[in-house]
Amino acid sequence: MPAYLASLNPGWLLIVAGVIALFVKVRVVRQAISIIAPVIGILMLATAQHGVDHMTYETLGIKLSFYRVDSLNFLFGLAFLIAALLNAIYALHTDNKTQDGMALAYAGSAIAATFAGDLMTLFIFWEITAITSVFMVLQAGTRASYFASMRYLGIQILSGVLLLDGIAYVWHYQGDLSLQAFSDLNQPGALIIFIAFGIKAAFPFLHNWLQDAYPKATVTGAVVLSAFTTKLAVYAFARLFPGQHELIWIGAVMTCFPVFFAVIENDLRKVLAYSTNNQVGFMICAIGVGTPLALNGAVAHAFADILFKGLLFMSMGAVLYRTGTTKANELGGLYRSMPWTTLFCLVGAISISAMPLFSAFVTKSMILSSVASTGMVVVWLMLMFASAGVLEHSGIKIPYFAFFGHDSGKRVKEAPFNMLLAMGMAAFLCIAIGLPAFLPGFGYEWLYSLLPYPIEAASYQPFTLGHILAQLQLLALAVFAFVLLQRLGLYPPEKPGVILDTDWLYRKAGYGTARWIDTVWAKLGPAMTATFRTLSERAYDRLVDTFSPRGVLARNGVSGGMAVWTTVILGVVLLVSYLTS
Amino acid sequence: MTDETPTVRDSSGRFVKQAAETVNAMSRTNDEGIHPMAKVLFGWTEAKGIGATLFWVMAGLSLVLVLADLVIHRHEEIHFASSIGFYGLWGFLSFSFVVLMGWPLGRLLRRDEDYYGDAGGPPADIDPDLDGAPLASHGKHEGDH
Amino acid sequence: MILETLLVSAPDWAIRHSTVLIPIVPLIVAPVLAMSPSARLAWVASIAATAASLYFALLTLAIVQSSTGGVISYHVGNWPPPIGIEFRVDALNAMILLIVTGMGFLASIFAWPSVIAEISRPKIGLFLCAFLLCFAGLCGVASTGDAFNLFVFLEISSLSTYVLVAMGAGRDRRALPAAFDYLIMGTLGASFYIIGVGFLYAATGTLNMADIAAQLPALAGNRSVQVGFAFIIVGLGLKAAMWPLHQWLPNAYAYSPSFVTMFLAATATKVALYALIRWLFTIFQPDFAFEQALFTWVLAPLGIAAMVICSFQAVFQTDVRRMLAYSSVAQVGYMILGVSLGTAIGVSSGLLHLFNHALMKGALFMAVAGICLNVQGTTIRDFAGLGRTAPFTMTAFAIAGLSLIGVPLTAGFISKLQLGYALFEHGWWWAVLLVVFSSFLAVFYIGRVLQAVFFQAPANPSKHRKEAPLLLLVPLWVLALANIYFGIDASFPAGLARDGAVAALGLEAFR
Repeated sequence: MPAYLASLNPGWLLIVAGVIALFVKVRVVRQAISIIAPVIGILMLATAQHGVDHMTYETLGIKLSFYRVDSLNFLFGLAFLIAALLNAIYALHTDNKTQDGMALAYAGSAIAATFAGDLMTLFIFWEITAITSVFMVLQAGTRASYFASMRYLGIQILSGVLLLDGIAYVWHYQGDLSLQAFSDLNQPGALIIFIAFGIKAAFPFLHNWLQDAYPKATVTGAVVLSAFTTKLAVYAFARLFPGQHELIWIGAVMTCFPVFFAVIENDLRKVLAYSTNNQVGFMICAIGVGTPLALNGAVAHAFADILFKGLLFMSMGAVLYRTGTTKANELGGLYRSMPWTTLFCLVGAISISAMPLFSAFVTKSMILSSVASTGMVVVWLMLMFASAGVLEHSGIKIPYFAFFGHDSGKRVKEAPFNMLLAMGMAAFLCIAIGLPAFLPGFGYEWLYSLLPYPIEAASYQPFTLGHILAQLQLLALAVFAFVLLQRLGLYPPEKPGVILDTDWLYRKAGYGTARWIDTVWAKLGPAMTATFRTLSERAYDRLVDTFSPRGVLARNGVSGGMAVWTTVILGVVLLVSYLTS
Repeated sequence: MTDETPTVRDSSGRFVKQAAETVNAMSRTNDEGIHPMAKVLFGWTEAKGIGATLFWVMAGLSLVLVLADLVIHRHEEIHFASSIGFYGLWGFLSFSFVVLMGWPLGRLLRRDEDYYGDAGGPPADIDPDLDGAPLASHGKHEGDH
Repeated sequence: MILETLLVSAPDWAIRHSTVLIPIVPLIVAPVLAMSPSARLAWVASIAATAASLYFALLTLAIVQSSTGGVISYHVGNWPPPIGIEFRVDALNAMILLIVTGMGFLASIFAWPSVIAEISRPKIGLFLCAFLLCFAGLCGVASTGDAFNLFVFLEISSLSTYVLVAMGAGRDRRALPAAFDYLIMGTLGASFYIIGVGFLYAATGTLNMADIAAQLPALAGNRSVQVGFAFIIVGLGLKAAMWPLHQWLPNAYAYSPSFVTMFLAATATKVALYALIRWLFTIFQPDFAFEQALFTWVLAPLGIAAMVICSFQAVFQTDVRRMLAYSSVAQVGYMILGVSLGTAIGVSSGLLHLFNHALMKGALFMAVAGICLNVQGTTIRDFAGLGRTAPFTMTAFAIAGLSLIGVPLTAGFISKLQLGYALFEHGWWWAVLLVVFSSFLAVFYIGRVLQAVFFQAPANPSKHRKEAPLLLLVPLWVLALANIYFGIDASFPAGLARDGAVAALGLEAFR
């Protein structure tokens, strides 16, 4: 690896490759770029020196550091690069310049933001992720996706401008934009940045852009989206707000409330969007705890989540690709036509449910242990409740209603080979990092050795008899509950419909209010103008009557109104200067 | 291509390896649209009385796991978690609660599919072979006046 | 560095007279154009004249930057001030002169394709003559040191602008009422200004700006000074399209020939704003009590109102040119907000935004002018799908649009950042929120156009390309790339703005 490559941010490479891909008409070349760029990126990251500012630049007195690898962001960057590679393979059957290029640039900007060494750089790439990612939704080409993407963009940009606001605060009060953790939210700018991150992490009540946009994205777009934005926010929290106790409760609520929505939601990709919320909640909660074990858990879980959530989105994407729908009430029995997809989906489902030998088990148990050791019983119970909830919506509902359950009679082809390949690779990784270390340094130990606190990680044992038994009990009894409720006919059937969520506020109430104000304004505006005009015309008529023959200057369009304004401003200026001298 | 690999001539007259032939057969759906791997991987789900079997298997497994608590001592940070069958009970209750809440919540929050206007059909990049796939929808949408 | 080379290589007479030559060259060439037999010849002559002015402006900038005092004082006809007319250029004027001549030069290059399409051929000579007069007037305003002489130049530029706007009647009859409105309002502004100068003359007995400034401290509390001040502020505010005195602007920009729109948007309001800054900071002093009150209670609220209200209005426009015009008023609001802080960094952020705004609005209107050549009408609907038929024009448009929004790595971002710092330093964090909010609105109005351009199918699909001619694309891309370049390395405009602020407020203001 040449030196200049070793000190180049791999995210930049992906962004450049993405921009080039936007203009490459030859499909093979474009796809080669999309696959080779992340591979080179992984090599670049592997050889990068840790703890050094590789690319620095100074403008307007701000020191920018574009590439800084350390133990906290290494794993995020690696996961993003792997996700970019899998996404590129998953998209091989398509031929869409915009989508290929933007997906690569989106991944690249997320990586570049991860390795940013200062707030301003983080902000710049933060905004680029917003802009590039919107194409994943926009390319779906339906009117619904267009409006959803505009709402999405608005919210993402709002997050960006809030972040910029916060940065301005920090800059003003500290004169230093390096990435130092905030000790509490009362520090200048901390709260604004907290909210900006919170939007991207889809905090409760700020979450709805996710459920709104992801299910309306393209087949491949949803897979791409699932990997980056929320996990980038998790990284940002881990970087700037570790041990911030507010996060514990926010995270706990975040794990629980999507569970209820996921149960009644009919669109399986939307169920996965809620599931994303729920998983990010675990990470946020762990960051709030802030102990080395908890932070290890958060980072490891983010890594695992990128893989299994990507895998689940891929399998639902394959279903959508072949059947044209992901509505649970229209699906069922697809294992007959898509057995491989079914198998991979099941691997993802079991992984996310934290079954021993699968990835989430080794990562989530760190989070649960760390929360338990704080002694916050209620939070811990909430997380356990949410673990059962994950099993419900991601572990059982997704595969059951898509591939088993009531046979919809749909007979389609198996997913294209490239989709199966990507799913297979993701499934392999899900299992690989969940296995016990049969060989030293393999299995979960490989993941643990890359965590921010490797020494603490090495001393943590996920595969104790107690852990395994507890987890198996939880899962087995929950599955038993499912079987029981099914037999009793108490499981709510899948019905088509839209589930109201907080987006109702701006999609119905807000939109309605805006329309109402518009109508009122349309009526009130002329009325006010008319009143003003009658008043001024009356005065004006008198003047005309006195000084000039009527009608000479009667046509008062713009000039008339503005003359009045000019006089008003003159009066104000005179008044001000008289009063103050 | 080595000589050891026996080759056959298929109907269209191309040479393919025997192995490739098998893989091909295993990845080609039959006339009823059923993938051959489906039988191998998930054939068991079609067995008769599978529902009842699964029920009793899960019930048995659950019982065994709860009883295992008597033998295995778990180290727990939170004291009541070490009581027998705690995780099982909590998992069972949580799961049932979530599922049963689906009834009232569904009634409360579920609206017609076109509540926010036309949902707009599938995205543009689904399988082009699908019948009537990329529909350009012209329904009323929330952005329309 | 380039400036130094320029200074070394310049002949002696050019160095001695550069200040006055900036407005004089176009002023002399203009009547020649009116008589020119060939339209093409007139165009070439106009390029030559603006290029000469640009050269002298650069030379002036070089002299200002290299001289110790940073001030060039040129006595017209060797009559020393305060009796004679003085041309007085410091870092502030030099910056404005650079903007005006630079944009004038770029405008005159692309004038040919645009003018030939919108003005009947026999009138082109006259049209370009009016353009050069306007250009000369603006340069004059930006270089003179005499209050009354400033009025004269202001009127030269205004009168020729009315003509230029009215020439749009060939394309759209509504240009005539727009020009008429502009005439009435412009005259009103100019009259207010001259009334104010009259009051000051009555109080001080002099018309030379430096001389007025020297005499004012002794006249504290003098009513006629205050009245004069009020009239001048309102008069110049009207010319600078300060909200709510902006109402002449949207129509004038929307209906005049597209070439004129581009030139005016990039220069005219800027020059009036310059005059406002000159009066507020050099002649009157910010430490006058009534000026502080004016900043806080009049200019800042008006600036904020402009950037919020006009951004809203821009969102609801259907015509791209009107939308950009409202956006211009909003951007003037940013500049006035910066100036109204009364601090050195505030003024410097206002000036930086002034510079950057000239770049982005110049590029935006130039791209629109390029579209006008091929497409009838400038509503957003007409722009649908142009990303495919005119990719180069529209990409430049997009770059400038992003700069207008204030996307990082563009010039607009730098100046908004600067403004944000200035507001923070002043403790007006709420104003930062409003700036951010109005940038947020800019996302919508620009985004609406970009969405139509790049993601909608063309309204009336036709095979032939609608790309603008090379004569337009070259200056357009110069501006677009400048938007990016100055977004990455802002040291040149930031330095100009800083020096300008220092010149306006005095050096100690930065301590």
